[in-house]
Parts: sequence; structure tokens; C-alpha cells
Amino acid sequence: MTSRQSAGQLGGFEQRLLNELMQMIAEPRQATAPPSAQYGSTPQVPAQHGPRWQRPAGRRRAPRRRATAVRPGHGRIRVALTASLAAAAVTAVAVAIGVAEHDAPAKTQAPPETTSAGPGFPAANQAFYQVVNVGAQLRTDPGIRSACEILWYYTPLTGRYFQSVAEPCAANPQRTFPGWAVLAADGHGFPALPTLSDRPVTLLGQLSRAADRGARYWGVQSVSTGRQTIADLPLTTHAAVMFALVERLLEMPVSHALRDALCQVGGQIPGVGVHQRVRDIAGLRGVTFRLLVAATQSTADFAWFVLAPGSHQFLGLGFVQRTRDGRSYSMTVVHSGLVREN
Amino acid sequence: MHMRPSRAGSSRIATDPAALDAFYRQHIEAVTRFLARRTTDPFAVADMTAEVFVAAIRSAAEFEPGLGSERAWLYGIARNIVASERRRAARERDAVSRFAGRRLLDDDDIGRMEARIDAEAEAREARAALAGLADDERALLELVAVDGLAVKDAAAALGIKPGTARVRLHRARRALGQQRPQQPGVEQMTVTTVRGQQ
Repeated sequence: MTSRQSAGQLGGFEQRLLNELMQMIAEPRQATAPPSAQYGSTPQVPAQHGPRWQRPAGRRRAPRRRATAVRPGHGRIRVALTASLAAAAVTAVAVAIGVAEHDAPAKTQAPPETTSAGPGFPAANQAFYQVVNVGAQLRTDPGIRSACEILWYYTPLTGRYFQSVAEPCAANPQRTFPGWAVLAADGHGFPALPTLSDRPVTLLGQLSRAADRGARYWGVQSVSTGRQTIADLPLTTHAAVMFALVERLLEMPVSHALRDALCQVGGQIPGVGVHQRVRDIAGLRGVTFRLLVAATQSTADFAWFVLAPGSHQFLGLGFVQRTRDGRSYSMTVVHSGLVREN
Repeated sequence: MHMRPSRAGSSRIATDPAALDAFYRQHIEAVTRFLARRTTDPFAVADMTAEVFVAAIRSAAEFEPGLGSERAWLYGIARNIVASERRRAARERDAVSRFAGRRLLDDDDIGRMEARIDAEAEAREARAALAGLADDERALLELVAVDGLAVKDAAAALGIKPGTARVRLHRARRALGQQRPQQPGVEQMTVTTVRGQQ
């Protein structure tokens, strides 16, 4: 026993675990019978505290699919990527494959009337926006290529719309909205918010079932930037799709209860590490959820997102691929808010 | 040192914060070291440590002090969790639920955990030296020689009778003696510990 513990003090992890256990026994017991953990040699699956990630019976994992970075169709561009990682890609790819703005659904917006995302869902006549600065960097080319984009989220909040604006991002959103044309939309960005529970155990099941639809359905199977496709990001495992969905949902102006539940669910995803004091490549410092996407003997690919300490508001995300040229990608939220839709 | 458990005390860990606090402080070190002897991944140690205590809380009412000590009970749980973790890893990690104790780790914790894992390197070598034994013999010898349980407690953790454990231990010791020339250092430590427990 260490001297610290002999003096009644526990280490950081040990104390936090004890706190969680204390919280666990303070919560109402679940109706399910506790598993037997008595003596015996029969291996048992241990009981779980709080949300359990148990795949629904009879459901299968989504089949692995090779990523396709861009798949045009029906006058829209569907960019495959994790969350807002796609934002920058849409613009450049739209130009590259000859899709003009008029091919995409046009929207007209009033100037921002609020300057920060509220705690609840946007109303039916509102839209949530994020002004984001996206950057891509190669190890062989240290210069960061950045672009400013606006992401739009409309009621019923299952689609994502991307808009290119002049770069660099201006701190004042009034100056970053030269026009309101929406370039592209992704119809299945995330599960419909009103259907999601703020009970972690229920939410876990909902997102697990959503992840069963696979990476392509949610558009999370590759990563691109404004200039080029970074990689066919292998976010094709069930855990990776869940990770991407949690990240996308945390970008929303969701309720505090749902945000907390999403954080709990995010921490439960196998392979996800939660780190308190990490500064990412874009300089963001906060609570970082990091997923080891793929690894070989000498390389490792990580995806992560960063939340503000305390409020757990979404700050940004990133991805690094340890290929020979060492591609990395970051996105930071410059500003977000709600606007009234005309 | 093992405190003899009181059934009332152990069963209260599911409802009494004070009982849980005392129980946890008494055993957290042993449980962590037990797991550090079986994996070199600090995140896995964190996950499984959390799972051991969650399982203990959930099944506290079933604890039978007459069968063995609290530590033996926890080691029995931990063995099952290690076994299920290995099956889970072999099968598919991302398809199974977990408590995810790793989310409670910060950078300092990871460093401490790695130091603890390093400190158990010798014990892991001892476990590796037992690899040639039959599964039931190896499991018993691990608990006795590597984890330091009394034979009665090890028997309880494995769900076998103490008499059976003694016979099995004798067989394991004899089999291990035949391997002695190959692993002198480890084997000497193991046999000494085994004899010490008896």
C-alpha cells in the first residue's frame, strides 16, 4: 500500500472511481437483477454502472464498406466524413466536380439575432449555425491550409448544410455572412434530436441502434478538407460510428441533460479515452474525447473532439493520420448561434 | 493483511457510503495490483478495476464470509473479469458494454498506473512460468503463489473445496518442480511462496 493510501488519501483515478461508485449507490437501483458475482470459476460478465452498451438482440453490425469521399447525386453533394469534418470538403469538391451553387437547395436567412447557442432545441423557424475555421496540414508541408465555413442545422435537425464564406473567419459573425446560399446538404447527419432520450442508458441504446445503420448512412466514412480528401477515414466500426454521432450531436444546441447524457455515452464507447488536460493541434484545450481509429505496429490514427470544461460546449474536433505525409485536420468553432429563418 | 469480513459490512457496500468507502480503500490497491499482474495496458487496468468494484457492489448481498475473505471474493470477481475481457478482446472489443474506467484517467494516473504495472513485471514473469501447467492447477497456483492468497481463500475464489485445492496444489507443485531447471528464478520464488502458504 502506498504511503498516500495508507494515510487515507487516494490517487486521482482511485478517488474519481470512488466518487462514481458513491454516486452509483446513491442512484435508484435498476430493476434488472444484479448478476451473480459470488465465488466460483464460471466467468461472468460484470455488472455495469449506469448506461450499458449492449447491442440489441438480433441486430447485426453494419457491414464494413470502403469509403467514398464524394458521392454526387440528385443535384446535391454528399460528403462522407465525420461531423463537420466535411464542411470544408464540400466547397472544394463542389467546384472540383462542377456542381454549382444553384444545384443545391437555396436558403435565405436573416442576420444572426443571437450570439450563442441556447440550451434547448431551435424552434421551428430557427436555424442553428456554426462558423468554423477548418485547417489541414501535412507533415511534409508545415503550412496550414485553412478555410472558413458555416454549418447550418435546420429543423427537424437531421440534415446538415454547408456554406463557404470568405476566409479567414471573422470574429464578428455579421461580417462572415456575405450570402446565405447553401451549397450542399447531407440528409442523414445525425439522429433526429426530438427522438433522443436524455437518460444515458436509453440514449446509449438509441445511438447503438443508429450506428447499426452504418457509416455511409450517416456520412462518416471519410474525411476531406477544403482542398482535398484527407483520407478514407476508417470510421466504419460500430464504435467509430457511435463516436461520430456523439460528436455531431454535441455540436448541436441540445439541452443540458442531453449534453450530459451524450458525454456519458461518449465515455462509454470502447476505445474512447477522455482526457482533461490536452491541447490539440489547433490549440484547443478542454475535455477531449479521443478515439483510436486505427493502428498498426508503427502508426496510429486518432479522431477527437474537444468540449469546454464545465459547460461541455463543443469547441472543435480533429483528426490525425500517421501516414507517410502525416496528414492532420482540425476544426474550431469560431462562433455559433441561432437565427430566425425567413 | 486480510481483515476477516463481516457479512453485514460487505453487504452494506451497496447501500452505505461509509461502508463502501472503507471497503474500497481497503482493497483498491490489491485489486489494481492483481489486475496489473495480468495486463500491461493501463487503460485496461482502469476499466477492469472499475468493473470489479461495480460487480462487487451489485452482488454484495451474495457475499459469503464463511467461504473466504473479502479479498478472495474480489479476486474471484477479478479473475472472471480478466477472463471475460480476454474473450471480449479476442471476439470484438467494440461490440460489448463496459464501465469504461479509463475515462476517469488523467495523464498523471496513466503514469502511476504504468509504474504499478512495471512493478508487477516479476509477478507477470512468474505467471508466465506457470503457463505449462494444467489450467486448473495454474489458476490455483497463481492465486496462491503470485497473488498471495491463502489456500482456503484461493479455493473459495475458484469455487472448489479446500481439500481439492490442496491436492491440486500438490500436483501443481510437483509439475512445477519438473520444470525447475528451465525457470530457476521464477520457479524458486513460486515454490517458496507456495510452501509458505501451507
